[in-house]
Amino acid sequence: MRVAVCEAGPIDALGDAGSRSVSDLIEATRTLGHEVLVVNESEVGALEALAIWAPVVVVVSRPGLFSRAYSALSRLGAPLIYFAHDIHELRMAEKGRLGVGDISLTHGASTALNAQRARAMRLVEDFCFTHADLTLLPTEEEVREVKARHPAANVERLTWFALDTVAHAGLAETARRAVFIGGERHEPNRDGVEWLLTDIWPRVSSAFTELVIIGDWTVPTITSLMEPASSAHPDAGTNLANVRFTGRLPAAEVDVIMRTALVGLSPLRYGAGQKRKTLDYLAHGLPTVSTSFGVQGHTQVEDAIDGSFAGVRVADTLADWVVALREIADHANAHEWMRMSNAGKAFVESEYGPMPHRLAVQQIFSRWNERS
Amino acid sequence: MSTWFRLNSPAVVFDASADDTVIINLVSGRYFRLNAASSLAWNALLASGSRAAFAASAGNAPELVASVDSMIGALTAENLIVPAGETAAEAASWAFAGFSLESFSDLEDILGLDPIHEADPDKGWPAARD
Repeated sequence: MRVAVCEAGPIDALGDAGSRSVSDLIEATRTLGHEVLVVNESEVGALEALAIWAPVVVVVSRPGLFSRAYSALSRLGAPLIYFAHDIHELRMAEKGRLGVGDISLTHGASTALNAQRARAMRLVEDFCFTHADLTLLPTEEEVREVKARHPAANVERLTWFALDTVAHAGLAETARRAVFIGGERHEPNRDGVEWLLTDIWPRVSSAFTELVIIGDWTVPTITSLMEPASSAHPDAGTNLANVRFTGRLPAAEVDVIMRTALVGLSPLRYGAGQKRKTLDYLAHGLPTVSTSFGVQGHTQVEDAIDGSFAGVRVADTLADWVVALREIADHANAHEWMRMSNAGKAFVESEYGPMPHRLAVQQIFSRWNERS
Repeated sequence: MSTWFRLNSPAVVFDASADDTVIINLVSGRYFRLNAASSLAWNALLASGSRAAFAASAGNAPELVASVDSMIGALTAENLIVPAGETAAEAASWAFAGFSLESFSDLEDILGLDPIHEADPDKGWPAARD
């Protein structure tokens, strides 16, 4: 079967979580024996090439691309699948609730602007949900949300990632290292890293050798925290001496850092959809401290495995974060560390490994495969 | 046949509340806000089948008659409405109290996506931006 996958730009398999999920989808589709044409919106003439190729199904990634390309793509006559990465509007609404916004605005103005953006985003996403032949979302809670809004919409969950697990070096060879992975392009990451460096890390840094932050980080709100103390910022850099920014790294180097680390961090205070970083930590056998937002979409299956969230300590307040990190850093808790490490990895293998992902993709396409 | 205007559907969608209206151009990624007074004009414009019917629905208020062209100009410049043939449709009565279109571009980073897309904002994909 010929499956076209449309993205707004070049797909970066090592980039943002959205790009990675598209990359995983393409790989799974090809592994299942389907032909895949990757269509890059930024290439002029892409639509003409797509029309000649005559796809049986067209997968369109992200709301902006789906909504602006809908008119052109619908003329192809093939079913259109909207590959939604999350419900952006919910993320924006959460951001508004938190009052995160432009630092030049007052809290009230920022909140009002975020609410207005969320409303505009909802218009875009509602268009996608109601015009797609099928919408794919990564979590059951998002599927329920869309079905409640649009009962006639055809919406299903697709396991979003295909993650290989990596053997951890073991506690004896573990550096007292905490890890955050994620880049500045994703707004919740920017807020989360600022919270981590400003409030959390200064309170726990003495218990660790280092904090490693993997990803691209150049935004002034973060880099200014790392500058030496000055009269303008007397506290800058305090307790941040053992923080290391690596920039973006190849997967093999990420593996080296993670498999010898002690804990993964997901300090996300808002957001929507599935968080790859949390699953990445667990895939490396890393016990993880996360906010509730960092484990969105994990709930039910993990309940069955672990009694809570497999491999994850959920902490939503600063006090809870400090307690959780100090306990994980305490070598007296080696047994608990191993239990969390094993439970997290088992969870990823069973739910987010390449095989369950491939089966889910096969199920999605099978309805059209029979007709092609 | 004379020309009037209709919503540029499906490229444009909007959401009206009691206080205001939010309109988004899905192709350009720009979105717009109309306050309550301007929303009345927007609704009447879309419900009217001709310039005469639009003006008549507001009692041929001189302020409206004088500003119809600029209103149409602002909306067509953003491709929110497009020319269409006249019809006999009439809008419900309303009172003109001014018109202003607030424009916002802060969703473009999300809708334009991580790599900035190069589609022409007027023609849409796959036409390239000049």
